[in-house]
This record gives sequence, structure tokens and C-alpha cells, in this order.
Amino acid sequence: MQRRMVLFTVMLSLVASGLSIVMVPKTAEAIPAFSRQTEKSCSTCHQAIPKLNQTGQSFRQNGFRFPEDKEWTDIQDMKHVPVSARIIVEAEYNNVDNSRPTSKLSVATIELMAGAPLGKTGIFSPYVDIGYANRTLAVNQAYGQLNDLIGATGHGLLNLKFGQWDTALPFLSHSQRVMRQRYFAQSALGVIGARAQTIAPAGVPVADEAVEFYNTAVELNGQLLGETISHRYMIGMFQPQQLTEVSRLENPGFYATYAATLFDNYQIGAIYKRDTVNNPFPGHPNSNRALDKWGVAGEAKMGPFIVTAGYFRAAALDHRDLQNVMVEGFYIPNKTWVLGARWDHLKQESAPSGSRTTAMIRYHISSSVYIQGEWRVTDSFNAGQPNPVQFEQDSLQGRLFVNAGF
Amino acid sequence: MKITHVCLAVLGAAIMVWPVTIMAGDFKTPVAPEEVLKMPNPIPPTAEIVKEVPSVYESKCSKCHGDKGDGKGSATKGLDVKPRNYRDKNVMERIPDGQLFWIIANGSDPEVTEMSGYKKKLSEEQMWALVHYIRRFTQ
Repeated sequence: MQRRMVLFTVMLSLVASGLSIVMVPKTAEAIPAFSRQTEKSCSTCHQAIPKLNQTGQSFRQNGFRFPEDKEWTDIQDMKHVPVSARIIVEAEYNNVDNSRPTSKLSVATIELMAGAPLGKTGIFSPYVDIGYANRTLAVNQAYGQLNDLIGATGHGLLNLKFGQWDTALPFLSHSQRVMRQRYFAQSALGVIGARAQTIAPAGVPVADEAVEFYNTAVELNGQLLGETISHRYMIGMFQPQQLTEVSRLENPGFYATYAATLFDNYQIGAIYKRDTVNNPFPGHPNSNRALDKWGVAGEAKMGPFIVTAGYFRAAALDHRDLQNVMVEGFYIPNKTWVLGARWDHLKQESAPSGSRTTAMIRYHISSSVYIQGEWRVTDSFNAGQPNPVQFEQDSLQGRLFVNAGF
Repeated sequence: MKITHVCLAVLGAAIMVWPVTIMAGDFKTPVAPEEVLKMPNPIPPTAEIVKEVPSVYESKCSKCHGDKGDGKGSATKGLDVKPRNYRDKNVMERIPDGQLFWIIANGSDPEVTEMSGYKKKLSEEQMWALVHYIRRFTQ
């Protein structure tokens, strides 16, 4: 066992060093499309890719516009084609309870992303993210936003967004996770981002790295930015993932989020979702049922530290609500290194509660090319049950990613 | 499990070390070489030369330094080191034209700030004209 671990570590090191030699650019100028368009560095909008800071949250919600630009025609002249690509190569090691350890090296994701404000006033902002993963080509996010329905041009007081994305908090969402490990609030509860269309059967891990889930929705959103306090809101209707194809539009889900930022560095937010699911009990008079889901979260940035904590709750068909507590912290001493850890705890009445603990380290070769290692422990879900695994098997997992964006 | 605990311990240690790094990392803007520092602005602030400067400032500078030059542009939210406030007369009087030009050309400390250099994107004349434009914020 130890020999296997040593061999695996050596293999990972060789792969990492080989890839880093190949992928180190001649100059550290690997900047994706938004950075090229706005002439700002990645760190203007990202605390750690892809997690957005205040500037990035405003830029995204404002249809990829800085209000100072006033006109956005230069983005359409195709001097800077608004397309980016991302490749993630992954080496993984899995040691799941009661089975032999496994390991593999794969191209986890190839993604193409495009987005830009269109028109002289930037009235419409489309965004598309197409990904190839697990031998499947899929549309991840694809949406359009009509900007500035009221208020001054370029300030995004009220916008109309439609398409597919992860309905979540502005500062805590599935697509902004720095650790590739999923949040329980997404994978098990479907609060920040959408849950999988079907619940994985017992014994099948749900921690797949590549398959992403988003909501199809129509949303009114906006922001009001001030010197000491800023407000961001979203209210919308979404198509429930868990319903059969025929009844989805007849039974829309609803959601609303609000987040406030205080003194640039402190954020609080709340999200409420009314999801609809098929009622699986035969002979039940109602073919579907609404489930309330909600959560509150806060984030504090103190120098190089970012700490995020959240509590999420989702009703279940059998009245055994799912509860989730999550604490995540990052230490970002400079633009080269990121260290982080997360504790994600899931609880359900009459079922063994369990936790995922993840530790990560990232080294930036350039602003958008990095190597990231994650070590994950999932435990306690199996406690005291002969044939358990409601959510995930107890396991140890090692992951090494090489992410290149250009 | 042990490795997770080690990583968590490293993160904890980093948190403990934070106050020390803060003291060591007190930001200072890089200073231009002596010969550049002493250079007077070589171009006169004529109407023709400064005609295109507002549009250059708007596209390259205003996102951070703000339309009014107060350093409160929309791209500064959450930045640890805020951009220079060009309206602060006391500070701006102590900064020579050569230093302003050199920072526009080469940028500030890339590890700590978002101020990148523009010598590949703007001509020397444009950068010196920007110095004239920046000076107007204190007039």
C-alpha cells in the first residue's frame, strides 16, 4: 500500500514537472478574453481564479462592463476576439472504503468561453461556455442579458437575464469555487447551483469533477454600488431539474437572492429557492411537490485571508430536511500561491451525518496557468450502517490539476 | 487523513504569521531612476497635444483612477492597495513629472497593485501628455 502511494506520488511529480516545463509561457502574458478587452489583469476581478472579488462581481452583473468605458463599440471591432479557452488536465488517486485504490490521468475539461457587451451602449451581453468532458460535449452556461432597463447607462440598476447558469449568491457559487471539489450546497441540496438531474444510486460517488449542473432561468437582477455599502439582488424563475420533461414549464421554480457588501471586504447574503420535484410515491394525488430551500452566507476578507461560511437547508420529500454547514478559508499571500481548506458538513434526520474536508495548494506559473493539488477526506457517512452510502462513500482522494486559460 | 491535517496546520500557521507579513509588506511605490526622475515634461501642454488625452485617460486610466481622478474607479473595489488619488494636492506636489511618466510607462509593483505599464501601448508623447492631464486634477 505504502509502496503504491510512493509510486503514485513519484508519478504525479513527474507529470507535474513535465507539464509545467511544457506549459510555462515565454512571457507571463497568458490573459483570457475579458482581460484583453479591458486591459486589466486577471487579479483585478479575481481573488483566486475563478472566485470573483467586488470588482469582478460588479463587472459580471453589469454585463461585462465597467461604467467608465461609456461606449462598448471597440469590443465589437474584433481587434480582441472575445473568446477564451481553458484546458484542465487531472491526475487523480482514489481510495474508497472496501475497494482497491485507483488512479488515472485524464484531460478533465476543455472549455470555450465567449462573452462581451454588444451595441454602443452595451445594451445586450451574451455569454457562452461550452465544455468537453467525459467524452461529452455540453453547454455549461449560455445566457443573454438586457442591460440598464432603468437608470443610467452602464450602471446595471435593473437587467433582464435569460438562459442557463448557476443561480446562486454573487460571492458563493458553483462556478466560482476555487477548489474543484463540489459544495454539498450544490451537489446534495441544489441551493448554490443546480443539483444533478437524478440522485446517484447508493454506492456511486457524486463527486465527479467534470459534469457541471446549471439552472435554466429568467431573472431580473441589478446592483446599487456605494462607497461603504453595495447591494446586489436577483429574482427569477427557473426550470426545475428534477421534473419529468413534460411538466417542467407548468411548474416553474422561483428564487431570490440578496447580498450586501460592507466596506469592500465584508459580504453577507441570503438565497431562497422554491424547487419542484416529481412525487415518487405511487398513487399520490399530487404528481409533484414544491420544496423550499434556503441559505445564508457571509464572507470576510482580511488582508491575504478570505473566510467564507454558510448554512443551507433544503426540504426533502420525506420531510427529513437536509442541512449543510460549510466553512472555507484561503490564504493568498501573493499572485503566485494560494492555500485553502474547506469543511463541508451534511446532516439529515435519521441518517448518518458526514463531512468532506478538503485542503488545497495552488502555484501560478502565469496569471491564468496554474498547478493545483487537492487532498480530500470524506468520512462518517458510513458510520454504523452495514449497507450505507446515502450521499457518498467514505474515501481519501488526491487530485492534481493543471489549468491553462488563454 | 494525516495529509489533510498537515495542510490545515500549514494554513493555520499562515494565519499566525499574517501580522508579520503585513508589517514586512508595507507597500511603497517603486521609484524611477534618477535621470528620469529629474526630467521635466518635454512636451508643451498645447491644445493640439492634449486634445486626444481625455479619450486615452478614459480608456486606460479611468476604470481605476476614476473619471474625477480621485482613485475611486469601479475596478478598485476589493483592492488592498488603492490607486493614486490625483486630486490629493499635498501628495501630487511631491511627485515629479518624471516619476509619473515612469510609472505610466513601466507600471507599479505587479505583485501588489494592478497598475501595469503602458510603454508598449502608448507613445512617449501620449504618456507625457497624460502627465499634463493628471496634473489638471489638482488645479
